[in-house]
Amino acid sequence: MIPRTIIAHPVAMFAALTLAASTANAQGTLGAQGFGYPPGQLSAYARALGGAAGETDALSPINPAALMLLRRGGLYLQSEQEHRSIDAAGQSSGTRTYRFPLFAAAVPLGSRGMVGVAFSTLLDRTWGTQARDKQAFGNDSVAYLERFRSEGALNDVRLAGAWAIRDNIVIGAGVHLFPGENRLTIARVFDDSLSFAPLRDSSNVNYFGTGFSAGVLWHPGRTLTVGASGRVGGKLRLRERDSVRTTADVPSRYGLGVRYDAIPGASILLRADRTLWSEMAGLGSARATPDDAWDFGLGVDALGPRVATAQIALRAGVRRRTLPFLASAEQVRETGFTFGAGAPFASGRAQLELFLERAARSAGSVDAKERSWTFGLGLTVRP
Amino acid sequence: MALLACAAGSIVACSEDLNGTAGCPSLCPEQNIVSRDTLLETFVAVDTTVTGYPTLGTEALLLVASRGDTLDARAVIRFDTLTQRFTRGGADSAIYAIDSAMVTVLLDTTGTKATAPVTVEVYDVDTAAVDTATSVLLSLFRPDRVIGGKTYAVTELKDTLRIPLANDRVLGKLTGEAPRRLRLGFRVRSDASAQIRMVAREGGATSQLSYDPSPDTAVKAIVNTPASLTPTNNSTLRTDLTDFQLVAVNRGTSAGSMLGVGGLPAQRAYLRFDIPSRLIDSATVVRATLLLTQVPNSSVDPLDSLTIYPQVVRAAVELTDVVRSAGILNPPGLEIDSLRLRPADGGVRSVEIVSAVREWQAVGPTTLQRAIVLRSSAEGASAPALLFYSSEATGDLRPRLRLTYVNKVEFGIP
Repeated sequence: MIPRTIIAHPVAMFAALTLAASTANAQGTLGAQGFGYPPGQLSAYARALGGAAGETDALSPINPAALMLLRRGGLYLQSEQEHRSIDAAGQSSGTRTYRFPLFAAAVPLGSRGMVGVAFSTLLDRTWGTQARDKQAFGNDSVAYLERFRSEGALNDVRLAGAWAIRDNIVIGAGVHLFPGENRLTIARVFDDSLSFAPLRDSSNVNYFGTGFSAGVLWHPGRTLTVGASGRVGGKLRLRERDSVRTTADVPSRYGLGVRYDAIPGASILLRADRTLWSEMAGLGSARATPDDAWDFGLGVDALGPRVATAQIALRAGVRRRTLPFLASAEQVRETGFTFGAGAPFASGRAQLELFLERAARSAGSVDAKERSWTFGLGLTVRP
Repeated sequence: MALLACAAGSIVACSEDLNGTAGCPSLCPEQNIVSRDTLLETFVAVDTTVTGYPTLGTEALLLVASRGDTLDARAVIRFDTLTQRFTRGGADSAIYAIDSAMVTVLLDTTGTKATAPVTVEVYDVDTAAVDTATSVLLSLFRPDRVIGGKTYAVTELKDTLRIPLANDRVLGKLTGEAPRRLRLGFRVRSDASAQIRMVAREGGATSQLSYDPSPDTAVKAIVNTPASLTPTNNSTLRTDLTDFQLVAVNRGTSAGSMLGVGGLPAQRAYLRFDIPSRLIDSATVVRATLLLTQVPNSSVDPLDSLTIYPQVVRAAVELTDVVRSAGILNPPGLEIDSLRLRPADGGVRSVEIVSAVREWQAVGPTTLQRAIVLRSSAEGASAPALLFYSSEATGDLRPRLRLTYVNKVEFGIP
């Protein structure tokens, strides 16, 4: 089920744009190894279904053919808030992060076509750490507090089009640009501030890459929708201080999703996705080891109660995937359980989607467990 | 509505707390920050002892000392404006007789040293010759110029001294030929080594010259405060010369080829640095220790501790006059902490100057001199002096600079 809404409410529109301008993403330390954490490029609707709607969702920049489902076009903004806790080596800590992982807009091209642009986060490298330790200077040993912070992301800007070649087959293609920036700062403040000056440094790295994607959406029957898509990554360059430091490939991906409208008002969705993160090998040091990842999702979408004139949709899903970068040479696994709801408002000209996700991350024998609550909100306004 | 409420709540709760503390160092990004140490032995571009500070008349304290043959210090206070008339019963009259003439000075009792009764002698040091020339002024401390004095027991040397003056000599100044003024020179004598330290105008004290113009008890004593009316062409110097220090003899503090700090006349050690650019401009210095080798000095009060202020020079690079440069300083304690040292001790002393180095790093090499000055907190009013080996010394005795630095940290690429 895709968001169905109608007119753009001026106040909601302004609020959405204001939020977009103050983007601040963040990730934890187990999930954000290497170049960062992949939010998944999924809309709030798809997230509520455990990612299972990724191939058949117009707002998730996964399958360009699915763009056709947006029909009259629209504008979409998504925000997420994550409360994360990590238990590692007998210590616990928590973080709170806020991110805007997806913005999309699309307009129809005649009765059988649709073009759209989407800005989404491919890898979010925003996190902060704070640690106490000691450093030896000759015969002296001085305690210090170190604050390390990283902000920014590798993003995916997709310009895509979809065309219905038959009533039950839509094809789509997209051109991707992958700009990005990471701003890192480190501050090491020594307890003996009289003899030791703080060590402060900063670093900026920039990324730019390209890619192409294509997809198909097929309705073999009245109750079945099949989506499949793939992305081929081009060169991805990392620059530091205006010099190209490393080069690799944008990770390619392919996936398949199915939506089965089992009974009137209820659907079951399945998705499998494979991302070849290993194509990023060489972009970072040997410590940032990328590994190809599977992403599986299963979700149920059902009509809920009617409130006033609005029909509420209720959703639930489960997601199991691996993350792209190893932690201490171990693959990081993530399991998430999601719940969500969606409803039109403003006389049907806007649609609000919510999801709540409980996720757990672990990495083999690494003595660390990470858990998170993520609350997400997506707002679609349509003409 | 519930969905909208959730949306609003989500927006309101938009605050971040990114600093996780668990999981480090295993899950924290690896920071291989390697610090390096280097010991520079030839970093000194200029090191020398500078005298002339504080400039004449700007002393906060005035040392009056008789320390055998090692130190003889005196002070001068000018009373260039004297009240010459008084009022009795509503009638104004010129002063024609006085009584109870005295000069009152405040003492910094921490500077008092006496083991035997101390005689404070007051001389008339007014002269038509060059009135700030030390040799001229010292020649006026002679018996025929004595205008007052008193012998004090050690226990009487408290925070205020009232020294009686000869009434007839003071009256002579009031009624004689112009300029009708009193310029008083102070000297101490004792059977043992002795000194007092008077608080100067710059130190916040006001000495007084008073006399009673009439035996009538209804007429109050006239009180005069210090003032200087010369030189007429420089108001700043005129004010400074209201009171000032004189050093007649000091045989113990000349630094020679070493670096001297303190003593009378006061000395400052000026050190200008020439640190390799690869260290100060390209790396991050986290520690900088100036190593100075102190030479034991047994001159005056060698066991008294001196507080030393290492201060950063704010003079421009273009200023080549070292003496002037040594007077253009940041306030003490701003970048570098003070030290307390005893002249009698010797050995290597460490001065942590990393804040100064960071400041030089920030400012760059073309604006300010990369120099520091070591000076005594009681500069100009304390006889003990510290001596350090200069760059003319050999090997480990010369000043050295130990730097701990970190080259550019590479952490942008994971």
